[in-house]
Amino acid sequence: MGLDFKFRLDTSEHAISIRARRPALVVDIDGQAYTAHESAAADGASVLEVDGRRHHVWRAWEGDRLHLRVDGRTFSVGYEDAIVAAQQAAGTDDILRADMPGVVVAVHGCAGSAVSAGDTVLVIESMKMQINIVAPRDGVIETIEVDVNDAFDKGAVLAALHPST
Amino acid sequence: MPRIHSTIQTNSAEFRRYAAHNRALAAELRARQHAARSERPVRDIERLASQGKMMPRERIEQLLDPATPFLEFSTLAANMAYGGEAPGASCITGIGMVQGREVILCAHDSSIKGGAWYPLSVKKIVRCLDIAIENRLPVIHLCDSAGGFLPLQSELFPDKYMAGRMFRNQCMLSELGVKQLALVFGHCTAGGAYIPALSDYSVIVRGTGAVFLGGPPLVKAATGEIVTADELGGCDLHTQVSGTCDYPASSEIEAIAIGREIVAQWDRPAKWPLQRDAIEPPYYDPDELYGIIPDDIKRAFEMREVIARLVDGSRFHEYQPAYGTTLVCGYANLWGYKIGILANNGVLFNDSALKGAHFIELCNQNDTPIVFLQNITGYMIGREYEARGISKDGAKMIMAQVGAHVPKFTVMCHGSFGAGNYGMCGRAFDGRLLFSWPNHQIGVMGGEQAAKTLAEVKLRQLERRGEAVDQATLDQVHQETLEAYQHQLSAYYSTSEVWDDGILDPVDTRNALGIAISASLNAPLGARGYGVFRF
Repeated sequence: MGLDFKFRLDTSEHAISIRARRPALVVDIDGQAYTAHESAAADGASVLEVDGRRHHVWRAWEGDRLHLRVDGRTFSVGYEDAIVAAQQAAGTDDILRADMPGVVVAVHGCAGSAVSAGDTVLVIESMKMQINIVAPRDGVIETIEVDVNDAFDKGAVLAALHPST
Repeated sequence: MPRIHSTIQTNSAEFRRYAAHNRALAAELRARQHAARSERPVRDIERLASQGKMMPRERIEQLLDPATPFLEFSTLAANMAYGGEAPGASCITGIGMVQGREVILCAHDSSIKGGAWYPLSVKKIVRCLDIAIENRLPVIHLCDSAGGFLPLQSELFPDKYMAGRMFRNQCMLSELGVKQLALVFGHCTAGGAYIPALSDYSVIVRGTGAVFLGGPPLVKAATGEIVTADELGGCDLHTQVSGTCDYPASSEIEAIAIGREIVAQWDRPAKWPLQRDAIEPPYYDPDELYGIIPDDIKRAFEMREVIARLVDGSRFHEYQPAYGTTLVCGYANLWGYKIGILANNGVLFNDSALKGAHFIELCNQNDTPIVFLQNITGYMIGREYEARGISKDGAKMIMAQVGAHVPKFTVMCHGSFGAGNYGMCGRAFDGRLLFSWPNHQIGVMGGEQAAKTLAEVKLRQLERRGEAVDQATLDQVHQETLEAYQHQLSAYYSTSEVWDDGILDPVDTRNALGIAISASLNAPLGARGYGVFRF
């Protein structure tokens, strides 16, 4: 069956899987099968025939959004990347680690501080380079394991966020 | 392809501080470029006008297809040399469009000392001809030069990569079947005479254009013969009698029009078919680069944030996202072209070096051009890392990089210190084009370390000689070394010496790379082959 394609129409999510491509496209949308056939219309749009009903369709992509005009009504459909969707489902790591051995230069915040994704929690220095250690997501700091001037090894746990609920 | 999720906070104090800093650097770059391009003493402008000549940049403007981009190389070459007497190293080079073809333009800047070649002029011209060879780009020479600047002849004439290399490169281009056109607006004296003579086509302007091995003063000194420049090597002599030039023109505009028509006759060899998808602008605003690049050369920054502001749709397929994390590797599209990216996110460790080597091999086998984004203080040092073989792992990365047959491009995004420069395709490694950002610094080590090392050396010298050592002297050595070193570390020094192909305002990087990639596809991919990897 292949991977489902995930689309968002207004606030509702829809999973679409392709059952067959020939002689006509057969797709499952939220578990129900539809047979579709597309042909060019004289005005540059296309004629989409779904289960025997003909629709007049214009479409334009804008990044991950598809704007559709179907029989005079406009829809905006968002495409969800399969990797992003799967990773979001898995959540982010709550542990902030050091990619290299070094020394702590600065500590921002303490246990209990609220952080937004991208906030600098620590600044470390290694091999003449200063590196910000940032929060991977919005959350609350659970612990900071190091102080200014502390040395640490590669892979050391520097801080952790409260597990998300 | 998933979009990079940016976590930059554009309202943070740090972002605003960086943005102010980098916008000021960009403004300074623009001002310096403007001066190098356009600011000339009135007497030089009047001299050209009285000869009925256009300014060199007017000629280029007339020659290029209207409303097409011109990617100029090394605008600030020689900006820190010769007391600033030779802006742009007295020549203008770059990639432009003529009759729908990508061509290299190489124009002598006769608004500076009659277009005389300084040592860095020769270096810049040789470099543009190297670019023509590597990318198989036709060359249009816009000739108007007094020849080599005699007081510095020993620095521009005798060695392998000096003046003779221009003509050697012209012959190499011809052998490769790459076309050349010379438009002779002014004098082509001595070696300069070979530029039209070695071109496939040449046009010469009556009255001002002249080609000769020795000009009238030299002829008089050598043989006593008294002759005018026009009689000796002018338009009619060369187009009617000697056959050295092909087309006479009664004005510069006519010469340019004939030149454009000549280019229109040239064949258009097919480019190699790099995968190209629909073009998408970056999802994140490239202007935000100003707020991402730190104001301190020691500060690292998240290179994915830079990638997100260079590539189509800010989409990035990251390879080995959890391994060797100090080197970010992955695929993206840029102006629709499929590329591989290697970007520094910290010091190179054993695992990051191995990942880099492997990813380069993947790109190479997949015929995917590679873009290197440098911010590197080197490979990790220390006993543990040596014991794990950091030297041989770095060697693998360098071997993979040098052996890659796909086009390589390098952007110096921040620091480039030590051996990391090598693995990441520094200047010595035959990248098709290499650009720097204004904040860039380069050196075998950082300024502070160099100053400390040299102060230490000075201390030992004084001790050996039995001279008194006082802290004030050492501090002075430290300070003087630091200042001298900082001067040489700067992007302006680097570009002055033609260690790069120009400084870019960071927001222009996407466009420059797009032109560079498109141009690179003119040269066929060579055979794949590698040296021996040390495992």
